[in-house]
Amino acid sequence: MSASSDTLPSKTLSDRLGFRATVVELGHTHPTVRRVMGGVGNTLSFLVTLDDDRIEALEVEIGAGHRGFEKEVESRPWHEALPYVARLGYASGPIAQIGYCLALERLAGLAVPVRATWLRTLVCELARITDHLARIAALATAIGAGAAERAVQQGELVAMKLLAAAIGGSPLGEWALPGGVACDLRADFADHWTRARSALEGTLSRVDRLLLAHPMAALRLVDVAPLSAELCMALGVTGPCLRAAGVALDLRRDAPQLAYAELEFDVPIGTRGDDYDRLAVVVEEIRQSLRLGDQCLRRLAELGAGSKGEGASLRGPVAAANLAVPAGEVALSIESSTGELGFFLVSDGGVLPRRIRCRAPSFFHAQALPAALVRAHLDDLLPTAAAFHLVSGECDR
Amino acid sequence: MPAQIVVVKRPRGGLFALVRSVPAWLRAFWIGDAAAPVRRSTAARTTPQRFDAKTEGSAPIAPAAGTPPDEESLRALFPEHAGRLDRTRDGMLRLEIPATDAAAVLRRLREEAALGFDRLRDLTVVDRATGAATEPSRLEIVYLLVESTGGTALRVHVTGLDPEAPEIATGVPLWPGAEWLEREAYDLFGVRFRGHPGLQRILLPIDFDGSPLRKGFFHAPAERVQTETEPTTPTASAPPKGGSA
Repeated sequence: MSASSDTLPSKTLSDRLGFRATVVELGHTHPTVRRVMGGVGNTLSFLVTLDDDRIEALEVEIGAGHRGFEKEVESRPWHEALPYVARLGYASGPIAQIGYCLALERLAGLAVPVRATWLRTLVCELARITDHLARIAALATAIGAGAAERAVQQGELVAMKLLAAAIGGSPLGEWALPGGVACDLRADFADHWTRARSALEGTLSRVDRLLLAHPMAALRLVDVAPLSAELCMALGVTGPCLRAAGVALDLRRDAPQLAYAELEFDVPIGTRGDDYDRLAVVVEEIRQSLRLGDQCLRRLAELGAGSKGEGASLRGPVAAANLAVPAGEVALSIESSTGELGFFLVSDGGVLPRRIRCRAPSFFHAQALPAALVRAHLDDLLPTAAAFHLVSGECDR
Repeated sequence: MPAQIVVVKRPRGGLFALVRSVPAWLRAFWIGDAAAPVRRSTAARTTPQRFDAKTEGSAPIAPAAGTPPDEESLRALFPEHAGRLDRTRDGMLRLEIPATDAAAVLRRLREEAALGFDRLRDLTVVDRATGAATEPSRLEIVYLLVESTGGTALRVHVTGLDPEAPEIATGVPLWPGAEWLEREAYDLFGVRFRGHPGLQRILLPIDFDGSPLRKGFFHAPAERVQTETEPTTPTASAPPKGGSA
């Protein structure tokens, strides 16, 4: 043992042991990754270069679930993209379908009945609630907050049933159609809403107590993986993660589609852009969505279901099969639960699309993840991935 | 009824505040993290080298003072391309430029403070070819730029790329978020981006042969099987990386 080299101060344990760069692959079969990311599709894998338990470099690998939908739909009529579009997310599927329909209607010049627009707005908010609850549940799982996890999962079930009552089935079904929607709300939906709303408020108050005000959040979420507003903007981060960094950008407010221009709601923003702010912003957005849902239902009741007149119609006169779309291009973005979801449609004037491009927010978030996690602890990888809500369908398409 | 902006709050009392009041080094011991005396340092640490001063300094969050860019101001800025500027039916401005001018125009759009196109919302490619097997591809790169305020959006279409080996300067120094978008365009369309920090496939397997989103690439199952079993057979479209591994 030579005294001179031993007494030199080493930086870390890895240095002393000679494991300077340990590369670990946390793939999608890893048990903890499965448990946390299972709800969002779980095809991502993380290649982590470690120094002790600090992340030196992180590579996010996507593409394992690539289904090539942009190629597939180029040889099909326009409306046959809808099943693929719904599978960009699970609970957020209806939002993606509504976004695609809006872009297609703009391109084809289709008019949408008033009642259908309000129904779509309501369904967007219900889907947002469900997807946000899934995000919170994954985050609670990742930091080991078991009680909060179960409370949120119960709330998620309530929200999912409410969504099913609104659209008449699975969020992957075809409810939003070019020119309108497939069916109206269930007859007893108002009662269902009242019950679910109080249940969801209970869930949120439990989230406040068990997660937001819990010392565990103070230890595991505060100041973890902060991403500055400048970096968020540069890397294309949108949605709740951008708002958590203090940028008040919400397409529902800034470029309102659907009926959002007539609705009253708040845009929550954070201050530091860490995991805690991401969580707090999402929780507050659920409250705002409940508020928006109330307003939508009030307006829908005014319009009147099933009676004669403009309000009763749910779909304009469209021949969905082989819809001929005039030549042109449209780029349209809506605020999905994950961020700015955009569609860029190019038509030659025939029944087949020239190009259908989907700008999926999770793709950008996966790209930004390493910037947030450099020099963070390995423990913080999964909570941050859960807070960013990296939906596999959106990353891989 | 404009939407209000509310700032989310953190608990000021209870165990949460008590935990936060414990010094960081003590907290680190408490949760068994003795190797790291300070659990979190602050500020610049999160900025990797690649996104250094240039990008951060030139990306304002507040919109630059002045009027938002409109059709007239863009026409005045790019008189040589004024004829190719119009408004599409989604109300968006659309500028078409040849590939030779692309680098200069994009740089100007990004750096001209009065324009404020500091966000690249999307980057994609459209193949205008009819799809006949013998026809070369006619690729068009589309940049979707927005102001930080989300107000004005501009679509820049870059045309006149070489059909055999399409190539264009990278946009990563202007918009760091272009990195994965360009990898995807390379992966699916075979467009090369000069100066890109790590141009490789992102969605498809690394040894995939061909550029599937080009119109000349047929996705019939028989074709796919053939490509897989005989990886050296050239497909209708030129593979971006030559042969395969």
